Amino acid sequence: MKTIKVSAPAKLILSGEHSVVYGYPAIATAVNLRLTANSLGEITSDIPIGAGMGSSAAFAVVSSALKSKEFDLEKINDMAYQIEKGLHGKPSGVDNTVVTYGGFLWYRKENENFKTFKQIKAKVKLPKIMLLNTGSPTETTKEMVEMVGQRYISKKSSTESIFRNIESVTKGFLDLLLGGSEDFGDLIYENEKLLEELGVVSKATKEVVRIIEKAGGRVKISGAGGKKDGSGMAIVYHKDIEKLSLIGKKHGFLFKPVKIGEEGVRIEK
Amino acid sequence: MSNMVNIGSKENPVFVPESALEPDTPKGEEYFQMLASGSVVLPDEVLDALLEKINNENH
Repeated sequence: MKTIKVSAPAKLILSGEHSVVYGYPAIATAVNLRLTANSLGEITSDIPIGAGMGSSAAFAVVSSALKSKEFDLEKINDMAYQIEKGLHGKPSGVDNTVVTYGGFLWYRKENENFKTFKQIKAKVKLPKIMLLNTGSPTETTKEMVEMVGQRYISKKSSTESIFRNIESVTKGFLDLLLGGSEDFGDLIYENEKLLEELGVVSKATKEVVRIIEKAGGRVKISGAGGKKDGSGMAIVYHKDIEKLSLIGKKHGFLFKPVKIGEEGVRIEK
Repeated sequence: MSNMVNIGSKENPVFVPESALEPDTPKGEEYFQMLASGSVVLPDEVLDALLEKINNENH
């Protein structure tokens, strides 16, 4: 019997972490770190587990694709969603959808039972980015979610203002993807500033961000962040990617180059 | 498949995996990462109830 090999990408939040919980939009993208499995049950993966990069969805999508006879993306996505439901209770469907179809996905929770999903047909190629692990947060992600929730209650007006500004940045990314004139670096910069204002970026991470910014780069954390030590994964961008390797060498930052807008699930030869 | 726990009500059940009640574990961490990035959706009052339940169990 012929062995079939299938792979699926990781997922990254480009913009909208935290605010998405409160009904503001987010853009997720597929990243070229892939989980590969074959019909013999062998699995290999480049996707970090528990880092909010969709490792569970990639596994669900690949498992569904291996079971699917005609490699129908809609069916694969539906099956993967059911697997995710069994694992996580109430998945939004963002992860399995972006991992199945690849590219970029606009998402908003209108209410608990109604969500808006829209595949973004990118008219431009976004630049290459780097991932930088700013270190493991001391806090659990539950504590970060709770902290933002408490801020939302105690400083509702200013927190909503931050969320609205994050929404503008998210719309800026959408505009850029659709061929608009927004600047990728500026959007990353704005997004980071707002996440810092929200209080989900640690002092140590801010220092790293400032070093890279001083050298002309742009950084934003991607995920729930961290307040005391590290803030988890960050997206790093520089118009001149060579300069990033120099900064990396000088300061000991380990950048990992990744491509966003990556292809979704596929059969490997 | 995960073991599910109802943290909603009898009338409006909302099931979360048991790991959601253990945020210090890798699976619990993964669950909350998914929540923070919109990959998992909980009604606001259920999220509050989940956080309260975890905090009560830890004190």
